[in-house]
Amino acid sequence: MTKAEVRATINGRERELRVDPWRTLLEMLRDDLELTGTKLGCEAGECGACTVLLDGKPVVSCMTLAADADGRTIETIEGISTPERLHPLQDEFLAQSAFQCGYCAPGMIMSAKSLLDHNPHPSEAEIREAIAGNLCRCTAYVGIVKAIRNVAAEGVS
Amino acid sequence: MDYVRPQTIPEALAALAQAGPTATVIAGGTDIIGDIKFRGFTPSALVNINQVDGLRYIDEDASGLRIGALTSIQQLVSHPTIVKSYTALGDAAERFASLQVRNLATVAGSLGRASPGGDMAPPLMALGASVVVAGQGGEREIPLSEFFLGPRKTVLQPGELMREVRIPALPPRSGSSYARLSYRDVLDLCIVGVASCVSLAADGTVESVRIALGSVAPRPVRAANTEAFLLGRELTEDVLKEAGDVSSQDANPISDQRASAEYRRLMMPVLTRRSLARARDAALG
Repeated sequence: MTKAEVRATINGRERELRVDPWRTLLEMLRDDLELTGTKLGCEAGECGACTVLLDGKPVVSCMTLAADADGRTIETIEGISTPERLHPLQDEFLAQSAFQCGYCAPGMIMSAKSLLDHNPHPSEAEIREAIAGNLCRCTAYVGIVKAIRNVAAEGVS
Repeated sequence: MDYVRPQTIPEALAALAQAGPTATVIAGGTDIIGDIKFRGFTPSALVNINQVDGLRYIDEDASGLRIGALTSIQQLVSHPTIVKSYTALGDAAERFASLQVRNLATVAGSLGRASPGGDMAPPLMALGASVVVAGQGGEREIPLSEFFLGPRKTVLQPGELMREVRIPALPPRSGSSYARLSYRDVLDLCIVGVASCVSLAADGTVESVRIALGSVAPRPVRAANTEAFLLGRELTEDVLKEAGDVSSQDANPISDQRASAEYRRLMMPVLTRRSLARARDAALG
């Protein structure tokens, strides 16, 4: 059976893998690369828990072929902080109690990061639109929107 | 399962021909991956066309708009020409699934899926669009009004590849709009969708009109009775109300998990009026 060659830059690191053609990006990240920060939720592209940035754009990795990561750049939740410093979004999510169970948080933060990367000063409506594809069952989104607004106001360094 | 990733259209056509009728093209994958994982779809081969050259573009010229088959839905959102001149398409794109899905899903893929409620079909039908299809024997251009046969069925033959969606330039004093109804604003298939495109004569009466309905029939359909009613009339509120009433003759919706047939029948006139009013305002503005 044919395998697909994947050469991708994941969180700044060049990785090379061979995967079954129908394997999803989510499976490759979690199972092959042990980057388990990205979560498996609905597995149907409808909850956003699996959101990663593919060439800077948020996608549902459960509905992306791993093979399509070839030649591309991927950012996951593991890549936005360093051992010394959390990303400002992570700091502010903590400060605003923007998660309870935490399951939506990685996908939510990646969507928020992508928004601020492209639009550093979004309106509240733009914030809500940017996270519209990320479901949160615990928080009613209040702390989440506040956290993103605060980071936008402070500026992401 | 075989896997091949052609780099050009001829390579893609050759790969499809070689792989046979049980192979599938995959682009955005937002439907096909679900089919493979959950719905028992076992294609003999995956022909991944994401790297095929020259299929991602939105080009405008005097003849109209040409959209490459691999153009993502997100690329349509906020595109200035689409927002201004092909508004119904922009309306549909910004309400399509979610941002994460729009960054993956392709215009051609959405049409090829032939979902009765798919959001790309009614606006493109109302705009008079056609699909350019490549095959090893040559190319053909298929008007969307002839493209859909039923749920998940189009006129595409095995080995054919959609290459481009073409929208003809609209006459002056034209406007279009897509109105859709769903429980959630995001990630929800529509209960009813109505796209309309009107072109007005100098005296403000309807010179031509196309109205396409989604989610009320096995495939997207034109609202023939409503269109006939509107020709030559001025789009006053009374005329819109009457058009809404006529619209119930244009489809016989079914009940499903999303809505009852009765509710759909009640909503068709509402969305028809809404879509026509916006299209009229765009045409006059």
